[in-house]
Amino acid sequence: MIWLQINPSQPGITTVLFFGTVGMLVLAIGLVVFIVFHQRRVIRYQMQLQRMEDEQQKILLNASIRWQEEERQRIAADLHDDAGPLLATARLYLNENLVHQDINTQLQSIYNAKQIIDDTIQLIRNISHSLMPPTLKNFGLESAINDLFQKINGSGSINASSRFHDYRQRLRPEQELLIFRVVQELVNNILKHSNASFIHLTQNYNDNAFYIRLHHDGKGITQSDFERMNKSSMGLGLKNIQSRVKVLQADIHFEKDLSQTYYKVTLEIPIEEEELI
Amino acid sequence: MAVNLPLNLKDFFIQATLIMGLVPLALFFFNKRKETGFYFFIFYLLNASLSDIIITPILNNNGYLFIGLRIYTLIEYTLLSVYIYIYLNSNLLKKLILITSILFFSFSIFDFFKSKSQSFDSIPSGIESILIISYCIFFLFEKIKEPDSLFLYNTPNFWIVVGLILYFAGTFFLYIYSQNNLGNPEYDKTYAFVNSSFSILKNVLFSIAFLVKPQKTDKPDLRYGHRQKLKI
Repeated sequence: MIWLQINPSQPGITTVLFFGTVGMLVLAIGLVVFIVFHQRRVIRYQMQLQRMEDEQQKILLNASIRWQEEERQRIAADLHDDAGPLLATARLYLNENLVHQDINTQLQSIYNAKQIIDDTIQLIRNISHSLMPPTLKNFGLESAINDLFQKINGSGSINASSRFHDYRQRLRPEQELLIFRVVQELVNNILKHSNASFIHLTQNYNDNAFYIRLHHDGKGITQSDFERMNKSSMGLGLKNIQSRVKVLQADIHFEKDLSQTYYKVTLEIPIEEEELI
Repeated sequence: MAVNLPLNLKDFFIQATLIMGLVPLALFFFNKRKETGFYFFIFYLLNASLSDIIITPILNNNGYLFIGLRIYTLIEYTLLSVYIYIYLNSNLLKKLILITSILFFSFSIFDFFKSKSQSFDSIPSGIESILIISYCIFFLFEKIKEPDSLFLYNTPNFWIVVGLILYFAGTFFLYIYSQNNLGNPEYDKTYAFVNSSFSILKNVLFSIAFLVKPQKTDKPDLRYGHRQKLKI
């Protein structure tokens, strides 16, 4: 700064001072204006991101509502089309007892009515199990998923297997239900669309994260397909998966195996110690 | 390019500077804000006003003006750097302020003994200007990086920092040249004009700072992304 100092005898001091001061001022004002405009741009960008996030939320919410409505319609149809006629038939058989006094006919009608009521009980149990699998409630995620895979395997159409490597402590019931629903939806999609010959599920626990991986050898989707379908109006099941993953604060990743033979879906759920029971 | 102020206009500028120095103080006491950082800033304003109105004329009459100005530079630097230090979040920047402050104090004391005590402290003032401008830039840089900060111009600190930047940028060359030129009547007029103008501008911006009411924007909080805690 010493070299900037000018001797009073030197001419044009005020000129130097003037230009120096104006230069500093221009720099200072330029800096402030740049900062203000930069911040406005950043805020606008963040607002745009937020809007996109809101739109995505809206799509997921709509999908969730649609799914609920479809589920209700399915239950209503099951009750109306299956349970309703069964109970009406049982009523007819019982009514017959009032008309026919013959003991053999009465016994036959009661037997038929009993059979129909048993069928109805079974039907209602099936509906109830589809809403909340009792194995999941009573024995946990591992048993429920193993049960699901055994049933699929039992059908003979596909080879399904599951293996839990590290599931010593159960998760919270709400989390287990959400994970089970995600797995159920993924498996449904594989069965419906992939033409796979096998599905294999593995579970791991690592660095406070709970991992579920599904492999299959059929036709699958990748992460970009998943994201694209989530933004479009199609793929209700995938949107349900996405909204459940969001509630779980988890991540889901769809990819093709390095060998390009298998499709892989990884569900990563962050778990805090207090969430284990 | 010389500024030939009539004597009464020069006095007018000086008087206006003294009065404008009291406006932000009055606004602060009117809309009292209870923040530690503001108290340091208010000490700075009080120090500036007291110095301009009472202390400088007394020291000037006793021939201790330049010693007083050197002490004033140190107090001004201390209060402003503490004020900015309080509002910074980065530990690295805080450490940087501490280190540069130690160097600055050491240099000022060295300069005090080395230079003639009867001269304007151009070099410490110049360094002070650069340091305070740098701290203000640190502050603004940190604020624009914060995802949850308000629009900057809705915060009092923004106007204070802008006032400081403009004042120290505007008077930087003036102070640099003052050591060798103060006493030259033509330069004295320029000094009075430039210093008063930037003091008035600074105090206007400080007054705006105390008039600004921080407003919430609908700016999103994206700190946690989609992992924002949902109770299930």
